[in-house]
Amino acid sequence: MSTIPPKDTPNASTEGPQAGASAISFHFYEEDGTVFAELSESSNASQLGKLQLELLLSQDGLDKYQFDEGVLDTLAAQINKGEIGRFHIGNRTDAEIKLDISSDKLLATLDVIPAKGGEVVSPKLLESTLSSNRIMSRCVERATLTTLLNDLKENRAVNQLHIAKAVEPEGGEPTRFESLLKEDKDLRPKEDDSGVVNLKNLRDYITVEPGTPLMRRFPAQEGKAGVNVVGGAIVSEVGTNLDFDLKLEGCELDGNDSNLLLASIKGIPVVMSNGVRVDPVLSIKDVDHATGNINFDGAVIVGGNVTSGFSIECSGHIQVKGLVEHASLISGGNIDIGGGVVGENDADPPGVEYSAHLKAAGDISAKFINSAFVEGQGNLTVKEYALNSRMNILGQLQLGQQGGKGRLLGGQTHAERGVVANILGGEAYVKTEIGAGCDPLLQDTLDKLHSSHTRRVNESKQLKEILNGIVAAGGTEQVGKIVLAKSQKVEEAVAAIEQKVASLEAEISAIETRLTSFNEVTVQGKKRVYPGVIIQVNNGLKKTLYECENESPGLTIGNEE
Amino acid sequence: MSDDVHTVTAERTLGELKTIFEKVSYHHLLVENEGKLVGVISDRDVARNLSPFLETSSERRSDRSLLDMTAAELMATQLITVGRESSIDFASILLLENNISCLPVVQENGQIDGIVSWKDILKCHVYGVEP
Repeated sequence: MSTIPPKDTPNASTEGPQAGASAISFHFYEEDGTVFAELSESSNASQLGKLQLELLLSQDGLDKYQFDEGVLDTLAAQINKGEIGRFHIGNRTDAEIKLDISSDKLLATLDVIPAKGGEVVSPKLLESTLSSNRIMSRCVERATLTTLLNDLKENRAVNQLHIAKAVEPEGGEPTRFESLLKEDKDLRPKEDDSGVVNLKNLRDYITVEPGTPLMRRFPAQEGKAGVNVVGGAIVSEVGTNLDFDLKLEGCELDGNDSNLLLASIKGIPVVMSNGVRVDPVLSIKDVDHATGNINFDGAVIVGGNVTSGFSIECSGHIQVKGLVEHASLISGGNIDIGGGVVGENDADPPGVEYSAHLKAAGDISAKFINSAFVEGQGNLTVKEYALNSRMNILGQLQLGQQGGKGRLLGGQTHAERGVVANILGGEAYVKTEIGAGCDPLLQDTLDKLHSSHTRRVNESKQLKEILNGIVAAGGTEQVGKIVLAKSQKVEEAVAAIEQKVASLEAEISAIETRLTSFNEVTVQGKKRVYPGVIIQVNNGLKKTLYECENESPGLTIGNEE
Repeated sequence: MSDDVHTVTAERTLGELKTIFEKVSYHHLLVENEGKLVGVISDRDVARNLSPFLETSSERRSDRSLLDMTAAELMATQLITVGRESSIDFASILLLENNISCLPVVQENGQIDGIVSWKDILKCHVYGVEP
């Protein structure tokens, strides 16, 4: 570059164009940071373009300054026209920093235009920019800041950098309900203690007793407020507050803890979103592969059928509105079957294995029973017929007494309190064995109890004689240094035996009462009794055996033949 | 109680009883008639009725003839028995107060079920096993 001319020299000459191209030189003025191009006459100057000008600027070390858009093209045109004069073509510029805050104040964006020969953005300038805009330091990420400082140091452009972001509020927790019941969601068959897997045993139904904790409520939690980039608070949402659904049946709040729900009745718990209902009974549509076998501590209601091969065992009543086919029902209460019972007995000889089995601690009722094994401690009521079944009940068997055919045909039946049917046996003279009255073994039991009673009485007598002897001899005995009160030990033995005697007497009395209660027991075929029917009635002291040889219009066997 | 009871009939002779007691470790034989208890013989009963001169150079005919005595003549017929359901305390008191070492266990009709000894009672008290 040639000698720098004074700064106040006019910027441009308005002298007319020369015949050839102008000569050019560049000048930088430190005091105000401006760059000028000086065009002068030349006889041998070459035509120049923008690229050549950029090269010349670079050679003069001036390319680092800011040149306006198009200025070099204009300059080249002036040169090529042979114009002379001084032209302001560029400036030294410092880096520029610009911060924008979004209208919602959730975001601050930073732009940096790099310096052109001037000062870069210092960390101090950045800090003052942020602080003057009240940007919250907690809204600026450390990693972003580190990267930015590095870029500024290196005089790199920064475009739309998200320098600060609002701290979002933390939402409140809504009320939460946690079931305290063990849920067996695994509906796969399980292996029992003996290693056997029954594919029909899918699960055990849970029952709860009154007072059992069912569900805990965790009240709604308040959220944590957030902050925007300039320090303004952002309000958090409050969690939704919900209460237990106390309209649900079978539950109540704990008196000492209003966030604890307890069972108020015994039953099966049904967990809802904000409460637990306790059903006093287990209600099922059908018992089949979807439910598996039912084993339940309570009552069971089956709206449909009990499918072949499945079972219900429960401590309460069983009600089946449909059919029981080749299935087993065991109840701690009554069994009520709206439809009938269909079983099968392929055993030879018959009477051993039945595919349908009913066992109840109470009464049993059904529309019909076909080839089933029935055990009950109460009465058995059948509306239409009982066919080829083995039935042992402690109560009375009633067939057709509330409407229906009321026929007992085939099989073996023993009903302690007698049988009342419309028809006994059938036209084909099928062997139908009917027993009523007390169990013959009951008398044996009574005999054994009497015998045991006699023996205990004798033992007591023996000990008392021994006791008398001990008392007569002084009551005590010296064993080494110990004085034994033998009489006390013998007295205790006597007392134990007499207690046993009293217990036996109570047992004997109960059985004797029961035996006399069979006096009125009968087997009755009200409308017709067919040959093949064999009736045996044990009225305690009196036993009656009747084998029907001729069709009879009606018959009562028992205390009065 | 021991179910495996060694019984003899009342017709067994003193000589036969002597031979039995020489071979076994227990001290009592129950005398039965058609399975029912009719008496008890101990090894001491047998020893008491044997002549001290038996099988010695001083043995006399009368000494040997004693061996023909029957169990019926030797056995105790005042029977002290218990049943299967009798309490241990009852059996223990009978053993102690009657100065005996075993008790036949019989049914109400006299049918023999077994025999319980003082050892059985001790086992019950010490080891907690059923006598």
